[in-house]
Amino acid sequence: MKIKEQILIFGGLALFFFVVTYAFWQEGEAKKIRTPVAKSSSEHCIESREYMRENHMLVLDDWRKSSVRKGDRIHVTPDGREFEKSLKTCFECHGSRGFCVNCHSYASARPNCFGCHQEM
Amino acid sequence: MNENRREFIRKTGLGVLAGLGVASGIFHKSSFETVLASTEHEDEAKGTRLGMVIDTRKCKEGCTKCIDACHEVHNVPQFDNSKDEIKWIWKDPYKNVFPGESEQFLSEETKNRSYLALCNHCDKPPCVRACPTKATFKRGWDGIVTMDYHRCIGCRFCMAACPYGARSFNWRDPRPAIDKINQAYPTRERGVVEKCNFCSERLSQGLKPACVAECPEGALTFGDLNDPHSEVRDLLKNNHTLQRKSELGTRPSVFYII
Repeated sequence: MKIKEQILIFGGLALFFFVVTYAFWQEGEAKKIRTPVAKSSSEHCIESREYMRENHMLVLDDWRKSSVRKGDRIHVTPDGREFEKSLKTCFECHGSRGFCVNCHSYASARPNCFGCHQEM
Repeated sequence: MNENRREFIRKTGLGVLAGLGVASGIFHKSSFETVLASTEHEDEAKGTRLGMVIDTRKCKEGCTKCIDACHEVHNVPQFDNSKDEIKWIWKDPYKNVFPGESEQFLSEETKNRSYLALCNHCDKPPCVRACPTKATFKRGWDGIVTMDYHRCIGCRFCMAACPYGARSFNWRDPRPAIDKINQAYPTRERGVVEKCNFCSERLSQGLKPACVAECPEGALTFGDLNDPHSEVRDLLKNNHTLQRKSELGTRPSVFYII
């Protein structure tokens, strides 16, 4: 085998591995998204900010089930505050659906609430 | 030896068959097939059963105030094409509302009047039995037959099951067909069935249903049918009333004074 051919083969292999592993060479961070802010401080919410970030969908699911199917329309927080189980309650502090859309569009998870519900 | 074994199996088999036959006779309620088809109208007054009495003598011809109020409150769309029509409460002639009732020698006035029709919130609702996702259900605490639109998959079994045509399917996106959207109540989406909910959202605020509150003639009365001292029961006691297609055994909670 000629040396020229060897250079071609090994050079090509090196280029191939460079291209394949290129993405892992990059150092950096995930794109930052602007976190939406509620009109009032997070102490007003039914649970802590961390809890709501992780579990807001479960809370909404539970509200929907208990209010529609059991007629239990009032949510009582552990410290005794009462809220009406309604998206209206959320939007009183969180403004509009823009609050939801900010993160949801980034995560590519489309909530279909607003096909029927209105933001008031 | 072989002969004996065959005989034994044959006799055992016959014995089991005979036993099953006897058991089905003795325990006729506990096992095997049971059919639910009661048409008797026994009075079992358990809990609250919300209902309505419509005094059709007071209902003015041409007046649509109750219909307008209902459709405005609940964001009911208005489509020109009758195939797309969404109905919560509407008016129809006698022969359509009471198809089983005799029309022989009926007064012209009664025959030509139009009658208010809405979901009957049946005590034994066939739509609830037909719904495969339990999107339509009867509320245990007040007897209202209502819908969880989140669960509706748009199969329209309930529409086939309802003998009163009280359910409508959203063939089109309803939002563009709503004149003025009431922000306090959600709209529906294309692909779900909808119907009258006896204004359960107003009841939870202590208000009367929109049609009842809006009627200028006081023709509609709303209340608990299981409470012997309620206004509706007074009307039922003192007037002869009709239920729509009572022969089907659905036990409608809407009564008509003709």
